[in-house]
Amino acid sequence: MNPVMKIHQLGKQFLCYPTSRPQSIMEAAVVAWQRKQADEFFWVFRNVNFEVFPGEMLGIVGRNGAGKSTLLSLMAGLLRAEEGSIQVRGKVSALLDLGRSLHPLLTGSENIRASGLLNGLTSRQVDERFDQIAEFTKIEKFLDAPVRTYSSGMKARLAFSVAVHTDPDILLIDEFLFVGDEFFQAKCIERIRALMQNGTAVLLSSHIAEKISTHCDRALWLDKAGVCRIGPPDEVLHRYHASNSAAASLPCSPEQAP
Amino acid sequence: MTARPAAGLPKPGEKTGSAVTWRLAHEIPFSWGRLGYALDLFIHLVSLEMRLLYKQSWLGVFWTLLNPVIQLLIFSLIFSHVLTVAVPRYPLFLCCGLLCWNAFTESLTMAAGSIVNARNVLYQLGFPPSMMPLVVVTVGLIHFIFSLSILAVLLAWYQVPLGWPLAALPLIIGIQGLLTLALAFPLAALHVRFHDVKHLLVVVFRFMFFLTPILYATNAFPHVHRMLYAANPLTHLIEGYRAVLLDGAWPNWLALAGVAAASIIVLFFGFRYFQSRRFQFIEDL
Repeated sequence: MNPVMKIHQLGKQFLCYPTSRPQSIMEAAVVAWQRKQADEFFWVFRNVNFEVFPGEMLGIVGRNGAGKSTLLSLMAGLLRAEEGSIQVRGKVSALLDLGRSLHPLLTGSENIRASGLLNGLTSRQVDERFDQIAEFTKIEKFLDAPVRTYSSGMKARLAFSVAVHTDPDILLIDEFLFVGDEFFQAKCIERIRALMQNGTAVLLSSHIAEKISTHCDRALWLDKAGVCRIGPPDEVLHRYHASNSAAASLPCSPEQAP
Repeated sequence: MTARPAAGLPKPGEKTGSAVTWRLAHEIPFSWGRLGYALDLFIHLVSLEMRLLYKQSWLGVFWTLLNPVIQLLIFSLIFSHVLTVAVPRYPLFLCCGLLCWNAFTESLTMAAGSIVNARNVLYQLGFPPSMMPLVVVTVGLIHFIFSLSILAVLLAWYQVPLGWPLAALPLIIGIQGLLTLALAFPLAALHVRFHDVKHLLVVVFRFMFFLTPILYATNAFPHVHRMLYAANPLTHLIEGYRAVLLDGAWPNWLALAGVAAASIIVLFFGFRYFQSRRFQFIEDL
């Protein structure tokens, strides 16, 4: 089978906060000339290589700060890598930040329209799918109320419902699936399975290992040292746990936290 | 619910045709479909901004009118009675400059913050950040056109005869939009990194207000000073409005063409700078 995403020698750098960060134009001018010699970048990860195939669910595990979200943002095209490349085929959809794009003053149905458009649907497509999306949320009663009155679970439902109705070829999910109540979770999983049967590849990042092992076909482990392993979930998770228990006695290195 | 789990999904194989070509994750190749989508998004965002601006406010869109009316009253009172300026129909004269100035500065202030305020939307895949300054400037222009109704009332009050030169009005408004847009892109991109931009704008605008012929006419100055005023693009726009609306004369085409050309050049480089900073926005916010 042909892959839908090819990741080749990927590496991402971030600026080191807060030592060298200019906060004003004055500071920037002062810092500008000494900029070259300062070692202010660090690699989140480097030399990451793998491929994603249609219809599979790939879980990404790693400790906080290992670059899980960064990797997903790179795949989504929100960030640009310093090294290597990510090639994709088809439409990418993502749930990177739950309900972040919802507007508190707009009503639920206005938000469905808005986030449909922001997720890459044309207004005609939004109109066609509106009823399906509204039905999927199961909060039809509240769709005319402004979103600021919603609970976080209701926002999650709204955001998720829109994202899974955009026909993605690749769906990126960041720690998100496990927010709503268990009924909605089950419904989400069911919908995701249906999408996968249609050839959608799903990338799921989580630090909850159990979720990865129950749902995913393969797992990818991003270590802070830049090591990355990919393989059957149980095998990868076993090594991940082994390294965690080994590292538990060591103090956390300070450059970890962004 | 379980009866039709795959409701609304395309049948297997149906969408394989659309997904054959490889692309880099951060690049979206141009297509007509993409352009149509961008247009839909643009219309949606403009109407959203219009609705949100005055949501949960009692007077709503009339704030757009109230603010310049109060300014007009104050300045007219001072410069007609206290510090007399020798300009006939002074409120009308003032109104041309003031509305243009307000639209320009308010649009730029909003545009400077447009990326920072769109923090949430930036996380949406495929959302072009360059859309935000464009939307804000368009909204500013719509409000400007709306506020021209004050001018219309004054024109009717003073019974100013309007002639064919009125046909040049849309063109001048268009050039004003172009100028605003040209400055909006680099300011929005800079403001993400340096929040000083917004404060700096306040100071610059405060100076510029008195250095732009809003309260007075340019011919009140000797020749050398007039050269300095010519360097200010707003001078030509305001004089254009005054020529068309007050004197019933055609505007100074050469000056307007100069402003338009300069705007296009700045727009080109400003947009390039904006696009080069595009991926930095999420990291910097």
